[in-house]
Amino acid sequence: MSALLEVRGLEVSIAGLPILRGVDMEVKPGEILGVVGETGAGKSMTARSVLDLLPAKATASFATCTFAGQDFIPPKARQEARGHRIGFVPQRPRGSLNPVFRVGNQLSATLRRLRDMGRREARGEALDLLRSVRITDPERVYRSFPHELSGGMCQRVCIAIALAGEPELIIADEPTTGLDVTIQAEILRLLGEVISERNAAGMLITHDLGVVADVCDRVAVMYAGRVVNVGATAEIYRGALHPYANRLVSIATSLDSGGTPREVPGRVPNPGDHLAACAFAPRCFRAGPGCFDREPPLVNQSGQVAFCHHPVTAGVVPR
Amino acid sequence: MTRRLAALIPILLGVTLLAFVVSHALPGDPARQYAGINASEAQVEAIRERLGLNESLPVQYCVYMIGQTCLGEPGGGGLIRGDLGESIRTGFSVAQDVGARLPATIEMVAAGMLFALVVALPLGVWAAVRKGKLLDKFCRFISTLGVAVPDFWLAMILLLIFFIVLEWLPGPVGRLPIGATTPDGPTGLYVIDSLVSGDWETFRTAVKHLLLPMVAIGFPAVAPILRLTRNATLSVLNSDYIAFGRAAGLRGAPLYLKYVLRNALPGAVTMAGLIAGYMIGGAVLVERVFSWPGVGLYGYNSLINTDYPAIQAYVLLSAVTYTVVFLAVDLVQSLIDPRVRLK
Amino acid sequence: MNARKYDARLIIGLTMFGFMVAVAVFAPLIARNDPLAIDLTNQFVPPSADHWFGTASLGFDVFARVVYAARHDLLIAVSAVALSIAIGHPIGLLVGYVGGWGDSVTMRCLDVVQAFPALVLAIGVLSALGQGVRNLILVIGIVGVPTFVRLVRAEVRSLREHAYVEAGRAVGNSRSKILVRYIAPGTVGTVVTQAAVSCGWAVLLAAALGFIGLGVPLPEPEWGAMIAEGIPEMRRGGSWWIPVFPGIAIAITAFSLILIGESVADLVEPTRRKSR
Repeated sequence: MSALLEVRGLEVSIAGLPILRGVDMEVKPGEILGVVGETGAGKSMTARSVLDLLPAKATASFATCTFAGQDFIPPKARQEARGHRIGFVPQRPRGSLNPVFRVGNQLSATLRRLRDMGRREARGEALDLLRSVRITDPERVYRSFPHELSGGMCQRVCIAIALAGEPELIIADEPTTGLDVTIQAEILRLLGEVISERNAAGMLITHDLGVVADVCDRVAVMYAGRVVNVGATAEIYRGALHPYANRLVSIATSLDSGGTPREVPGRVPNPGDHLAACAFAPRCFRAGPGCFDREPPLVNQSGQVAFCHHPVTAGVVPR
Repeated sequence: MTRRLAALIPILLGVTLLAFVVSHALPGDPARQYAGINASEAQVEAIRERLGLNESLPVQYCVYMIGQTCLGEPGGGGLIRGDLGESIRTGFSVAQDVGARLPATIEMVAAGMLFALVVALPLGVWAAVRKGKLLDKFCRFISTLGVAVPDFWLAMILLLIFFIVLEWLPGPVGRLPIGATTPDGPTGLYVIDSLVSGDWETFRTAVKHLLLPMVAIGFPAVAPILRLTRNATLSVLNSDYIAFGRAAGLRGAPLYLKYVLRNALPGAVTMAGLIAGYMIGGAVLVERVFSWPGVGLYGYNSLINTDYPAIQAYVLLSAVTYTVVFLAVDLVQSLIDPRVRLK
Repeated sequence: MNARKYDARLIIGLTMFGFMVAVAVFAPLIARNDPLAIDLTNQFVPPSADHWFGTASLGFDVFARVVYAARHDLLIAVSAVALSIAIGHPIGLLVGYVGGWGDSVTMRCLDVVQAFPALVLAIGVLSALGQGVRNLILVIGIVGVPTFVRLVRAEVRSLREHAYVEAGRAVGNSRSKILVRYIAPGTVGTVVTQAAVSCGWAVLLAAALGFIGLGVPLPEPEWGAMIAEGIPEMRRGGSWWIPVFPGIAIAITAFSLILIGESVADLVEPTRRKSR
């Protein structure tokens, strides 16, 4: 099946420092892709590149970028997709709603803009959308200002706004940051549900590997500006090929089962640091001399793809 | 609302007390000022008696506030009855004098305010959008310079350019040419009254006369409003809700007009309140240059004629107006910024 | 944003202000003509080699008067701000440190004083006290007091909570000693910064009072009063040089002082720089 969103060779640098160093990623129709990795791995930057929402000083270049067969390399194509074809669910939902407008006003304004609705029609549709994100008293929420709502309620509203343009893809950028732990899982499950109800696709960026296991069909693991391991969620959890991904998963599962997590030693490289051929090599327990000066080969095995000289299970395919 | 009004009372009381202290209790001799340099000692003493300056200070304050009732005499008067005394120069009650001149000042200050906002708000947003670029630096230079240029001097420079050199606009003769009939109307603001009555010719003349005073009184306010708008805009531009608005497809002019300007507005309104106070003071200077027949010019003329009751009233009314403007700004603030309503 | 740009602003400000101070100090060397000399045969003469800035009524030499006026205007502004600090700084220290009802009462009093637009309050007081340089300094100084009280009070209240003040308390210093030794020195920086800006405002206020005839009594030269002499000329349509030059002098002085104050504030407080 051809991909809905396909990104190849995405490179982003901010003020001359490389942030993304050739990201390849695809989202298939109807699937939810989880994107995980430590802070600074480039997860958010990848998502923002797709919407042309990078910070002012950043420059991006793609080898390939297509969305439903359309060329997405021209920035204008990506800008026009915002809201219409790609919905975005933000971090920090409370701060993401405009404090001086009522929530309902913001939602119906989005509807009128994206779907050319009239005032009354937009209001009705807005209430329906609020209901569809499981808000039980949409009338009250419609009339509220953001500061009158809880963080979780604000995120439901943000999800409704993201859904307003009936997008084919919904990108959620760490949507539970700043929310109470108790409602984080609830929000993520809601996201998964509304995406599959609409037969849309999703890209869920998160640190939370436990959540990924519940919601996502496939997982992409990023490290230092590259995707190092991609595969079906079940496969990744059974035993990720890339040592880094493997370690992340084992940390997450040992947390779940109450074991003592072993940290990944060392620290994430900063932008501009000198990187070995395999950026993870300095922290890797399996690294050999070759890892530092030869590009890691592509390993394709049991429904996973990884870039590694010494994948956790044997079976090396030369690149 | 009620609590805000209640908080006003002690301040207004304090204002009357200070105005009283300024006029009655300072080491200067009001009676001598009142009588003039050439008055004899007997004349000064007579005035002192008439003004009640021989009473003790608390009694004087009491009389100042509630009038002759305080001394157990009939006659009333006092501040609480709106009695501001009688002008020596014009012979009318000061309240009447000020009332007649108020519309002129309101017209000028309101126009100046409008001018400042119309120039400063868009420019502030623009400077923030082009942060660090030439325009931004230029705006910053202008805001520091704008504060440093005296408004009364600017008024004269404007006259030099537009009246004397270019001859585009009328000279400093007040609100209308000498001898022109003033438009009748409910507001006393010539620009509005002439428009309401459909007197197109008077409207144009009134606007022409208003232009230079408007710029002179408004210009000093441009700088601070510009600066505040710029900084408020920057914080709005860097906010999460702008990022999310963009992600939801908001672009171009609607983004700036609906989101940025609207969110930067509360800060600018607070500033506008402060500026209004500054303009009340500045009015005396600008009105003098343009012979603009407002309260400021009345204050000035009272000053050079040592019209003592009129000066006191001018000082007091300025402070009261300033305080009330502050309250109004507070209320407007709670209307346009929903977050304030909670507090 | 690099630090050099702010140094440049400071250097420009200091250079301009230094220039005005030099003009005031060396006035007799700069101006060949006597600022008080009357020459009825040469009234309203446009700028020429003899009279660089032209002459005003009574044949006053505008250049000499602008130069000598710097002495009055700078003296008034600097003395007034010194007075504001002398009164405002101790009050701010005390009410900020002690707090309680004394603090509340002081703040309410400041609210009342600040309910008067500065110029209007100055007009009221001066009209009662009468004209003169000393009264002018007194009035402008008093009008400036609330700014310094509020500034120092806020600074003290934040310093009060600092670790080193706690430490001073822990080793058994008395309250007054803590205020003088530990807190007062910490407030000097902000006061000095504000002093420059306040001086700029004082120059403008002095000129405004001079403009409406409450400033330095004639025939002594003062910038604001000199501009006022130009008003009748506006109607007659000539003698632009009478108001233009003193106005430029005011603008240069006030601009340089405000520039100094703002750039120093940016340097002292790096967090403020970010928001610009």
